[in-house]
Amino acid sequence: MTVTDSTAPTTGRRVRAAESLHGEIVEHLEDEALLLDDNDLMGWLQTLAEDIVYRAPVRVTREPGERSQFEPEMAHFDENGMTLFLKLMRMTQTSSAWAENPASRTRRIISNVRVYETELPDEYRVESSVLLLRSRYDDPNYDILSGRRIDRLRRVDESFKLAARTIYFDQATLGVQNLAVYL
Amino acid sequence: MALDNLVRTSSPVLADGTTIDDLVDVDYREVSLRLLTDPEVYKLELERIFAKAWTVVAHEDEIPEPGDYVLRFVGQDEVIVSRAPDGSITAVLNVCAHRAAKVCRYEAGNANRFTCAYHNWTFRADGAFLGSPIARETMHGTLRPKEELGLQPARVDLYAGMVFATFDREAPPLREYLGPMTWYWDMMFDRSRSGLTVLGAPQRFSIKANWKCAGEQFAGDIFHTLSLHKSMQELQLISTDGPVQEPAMAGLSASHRAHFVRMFDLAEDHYINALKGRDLAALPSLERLRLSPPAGMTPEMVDELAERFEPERLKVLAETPPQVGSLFPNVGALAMPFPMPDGTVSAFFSWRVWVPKSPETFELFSWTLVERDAPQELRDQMRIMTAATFGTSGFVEADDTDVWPQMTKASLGALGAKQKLRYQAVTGGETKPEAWAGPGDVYCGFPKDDTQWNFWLEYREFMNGRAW
Repeated sequence: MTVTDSTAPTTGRRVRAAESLHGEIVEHLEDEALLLDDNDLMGWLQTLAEDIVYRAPVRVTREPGERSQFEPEMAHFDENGMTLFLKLMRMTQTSSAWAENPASRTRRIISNVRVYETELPDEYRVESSVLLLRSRYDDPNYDILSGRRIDRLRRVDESFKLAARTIYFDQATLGVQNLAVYL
Repeated sequence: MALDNLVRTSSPVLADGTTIDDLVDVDYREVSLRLLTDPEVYKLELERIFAKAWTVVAHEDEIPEPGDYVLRFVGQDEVIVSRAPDGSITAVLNVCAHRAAKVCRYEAGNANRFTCAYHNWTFRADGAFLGSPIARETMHGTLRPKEELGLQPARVDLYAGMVFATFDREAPPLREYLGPMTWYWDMMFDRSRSGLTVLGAPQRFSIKANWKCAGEQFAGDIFHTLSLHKSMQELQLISTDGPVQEPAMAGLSASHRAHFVRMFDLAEDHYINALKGRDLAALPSLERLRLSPPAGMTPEMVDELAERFEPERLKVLAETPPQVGSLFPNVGALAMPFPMPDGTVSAFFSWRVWVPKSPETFELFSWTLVERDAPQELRDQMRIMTAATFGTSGFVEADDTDVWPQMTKASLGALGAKQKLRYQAVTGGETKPEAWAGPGDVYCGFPKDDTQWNFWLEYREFMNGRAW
């Protein structure tokens, strides 16, 4: 499968589901999803590392066996700490972020979590599947986005910070009018 | 023949007797909202606009090697855009000449022939029919010669590295179609030795709106930046500390038929920080350009501009650079410097097309461009800033893509369909300054409705069968 091919896991040991660390990380991902579901963007910002890299590469349907379906440079999301901060400030501190005014109602279902140790003792590679449902205005049809996330989660004190996230969407053409919400 | 010609060039009559001319009111400069989503109108648009006009399908660097191809759209028709062995570029309809399945199933790849999976009819990338299987049975019959069983070819031409296509054999050459607009567009997209490249395949995302919502906006709606994109002022990304409280509204618009470009007046002292407090009148064009380089260039790259442009255009680039534009019917482009909160000047740089998918849906294809020889740091900056502002997750365009579906929905109501899009705030005829060297229809001053109205006049020409 291209996702795992193109982003082969580090040779780090897999953290088994029975280990308490695994449970801690799943708990963190679920807490993070709830912050976003609740539109607590400032709360979410607190969970991001300042040097975060947050991307969702463009996907191209290619012949079987060809190189990765994901573009190396071109992305739907292509954020660093500054752009994410700017966007979150726009959403929370201005009166005219019309893309999300009124705010969409969103639900994130996170599952199929795998955790690996990395070359850094305090960083983990965390894979998860995400399903985002987004309801906007009175439209009874959901925007639906699904994908696989590959995260770098950094242990900071008693909690974690998101140091990097790459979202591999399942759609080559995203069926949404914008990505003014986060996954 | 005469009757056929009459039908072709008269205003089409819809099922209830309404004509296109009835829906574009020239006296009041109003467009009936019904034009957005009426299924009859949409079908006519596919035939009379998208099967005729030149449109963008790719950037040449997406298919650098012989055999490289991408799948793209001319209107709702899918085409295979390929690099031929001789380096030229071809585009053919991705519809098997036999029973209409796709002969190419992948969005991008490399192939010197395409074999339809349905019955194995095989075609060259330029569309030529090579044969059907089981030759002794001649499964393509004998009624039509092989030459008539190829994939329908489009005409292809390039401007500034972008690949344009049209299926109309009567369409004028691309350069003629663009006309004098290239005088302006060259300053954005054909300005350096290396030329521009794309960062990869375009973003593709689907918007529940009619394509004309984006089309008419990109034809000259600069004004909405003050309202819909007010958050940029609230965040101080566009400064409001000058004497005029409408930032980035001073400048000029130019159009040729419905093609459009907007020049922004950089002397407006609160627009570009790097120029603040300078005696701009005393600065030669190149020095000004080094202080505030065109979007996507470094100060070191500015000298190249003098090699390509005469003094008149250097002056335009320095004082009132073109930064946003559109090409009828469905192409838009942005080349705009953009200040970051930390004071660094970055830029967003994009070509885009709005591909019609249904009366109520279009798909936005958005490419990010950089100079081919841009230093890596600039390349990364452009990649990040363009994605942050425009396209799928761009915070500027996200506001637009929330409004376009509202306009589209409104047009579906019995009363809504009779409402109007209004273009009454015009500059009032051409206001080209005497010293202005540029061609085309020029409108100087606050951005008004002139060029957007030109979009609808051109739309009416195409719909009435008078494309050329």
